[in-house]
Amino acid sequence: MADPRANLDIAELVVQHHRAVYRYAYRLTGAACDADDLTQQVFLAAQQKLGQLREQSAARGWLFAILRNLFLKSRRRRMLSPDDLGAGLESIPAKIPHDDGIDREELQRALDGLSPEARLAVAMYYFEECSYREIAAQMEWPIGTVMSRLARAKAQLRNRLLDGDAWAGIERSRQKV
Amino acid sequence: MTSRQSQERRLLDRMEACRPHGADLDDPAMAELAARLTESRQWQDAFDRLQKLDVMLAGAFHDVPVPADEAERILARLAETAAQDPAQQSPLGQVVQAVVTEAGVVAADAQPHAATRRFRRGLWGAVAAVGVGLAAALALLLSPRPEPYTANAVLENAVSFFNNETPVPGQLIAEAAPPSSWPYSPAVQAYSSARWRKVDGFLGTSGVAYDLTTPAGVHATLYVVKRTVADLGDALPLRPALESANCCVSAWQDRSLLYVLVVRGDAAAYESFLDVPRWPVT
Repeated sequence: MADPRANLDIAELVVQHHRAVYRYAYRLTGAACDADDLTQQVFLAAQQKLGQLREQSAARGWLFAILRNLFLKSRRRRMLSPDDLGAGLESIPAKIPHDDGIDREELQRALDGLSPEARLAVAMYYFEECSYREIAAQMEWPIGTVMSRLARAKAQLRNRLLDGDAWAGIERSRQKV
Repeated sequence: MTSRQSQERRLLDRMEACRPHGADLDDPAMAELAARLTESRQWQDAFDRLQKLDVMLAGAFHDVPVPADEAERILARLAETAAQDPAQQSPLGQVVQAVVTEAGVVAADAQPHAATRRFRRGLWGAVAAVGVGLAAALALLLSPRPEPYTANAVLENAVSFFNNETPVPGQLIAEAAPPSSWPYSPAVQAYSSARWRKVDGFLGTSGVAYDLTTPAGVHATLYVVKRTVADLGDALPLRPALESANCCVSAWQDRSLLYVLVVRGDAAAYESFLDVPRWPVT
């Protein structure tokens, strides 16, 4: 007989964490419909594996791990685009944008231009605030690979967000406020 | 690539891996980078700029609107899957499944060739039935659970709640006194712009939230609920107990009242809400 508490737990997980999971899914997939589908897949998988979750306080990280695996599986069939080699110290802009200077849609377009692995690396860094060691452990990537993948992906994001056209866009959006 | 270029590449990779406000520079693998930052003003300036950019990008990452009915869609999908597997039936699953089935029956009663008005009535009946049923299921879930929260769970739930709620502005404390059952904490710096409002669903119960803004524009919310958490201290910590998702959060117990302070920003932002002596008074 099914454990009634198990289904109450999954529903509570949905209520508490669906927003964070959806946001993460959106940043990975770049489309609301894909994010919606991926979010539902996460909770379906969580429902099947609820026995693996030992503590409620670990639920968020556990759901994120399911999300990452599902995302990668959905992308593995596609050709992996090579990441740029990245630049040197000059890849870090000399000018810091205004506090509200990063448009969320621009950010998503920049993310969409990264390979799935690069996208995951930056999402784990910025969204989950994982250390490079945590990323390496979770994704089973060598530490050197994590560092170089993260560095190149972050440089690419900055290049797309803070190049001439994007900078002009940020300035225009500021003037509207 | 020359050896100098290789070294610079390696240092840059390590610099990019350092999280804002984290202790990553203390990692032994970062020793070479830490030394370079000490030696070179140019590298230190670049590191500081990078950290600021990373804080901004982290905030932007979380800036995603979530459809209002997302939870209902997920719950409906879970119930549908559970219905296909009888071994997974549970009281909740049966409630939601019964509602979904009833909605399906109501919709099926609207014959394809029936009058448009009858069809629409059937459809709205199905929507209403699903809505009421899911609302009942959510109400069941949001009612207080018997299992106590751990300190860690309190902190994590508070950050999630703070980031996800979109409250209507409350009343100024200076104009309308808050309920005496959920008093403001003297340990938290009071600002003239402080507002209070009733809050529901915080750690599964109701209480009062005090929304605070410093003159410099730093935001925070002090949640007060009647709840007891076993492993919490009885005073506001001088340092945040948890830093996550661009927030600093601490919790403490004052008899039967649980106080949770969530500050948007870093540890320095957190300190602007402390109203406690930070060094011994002799």
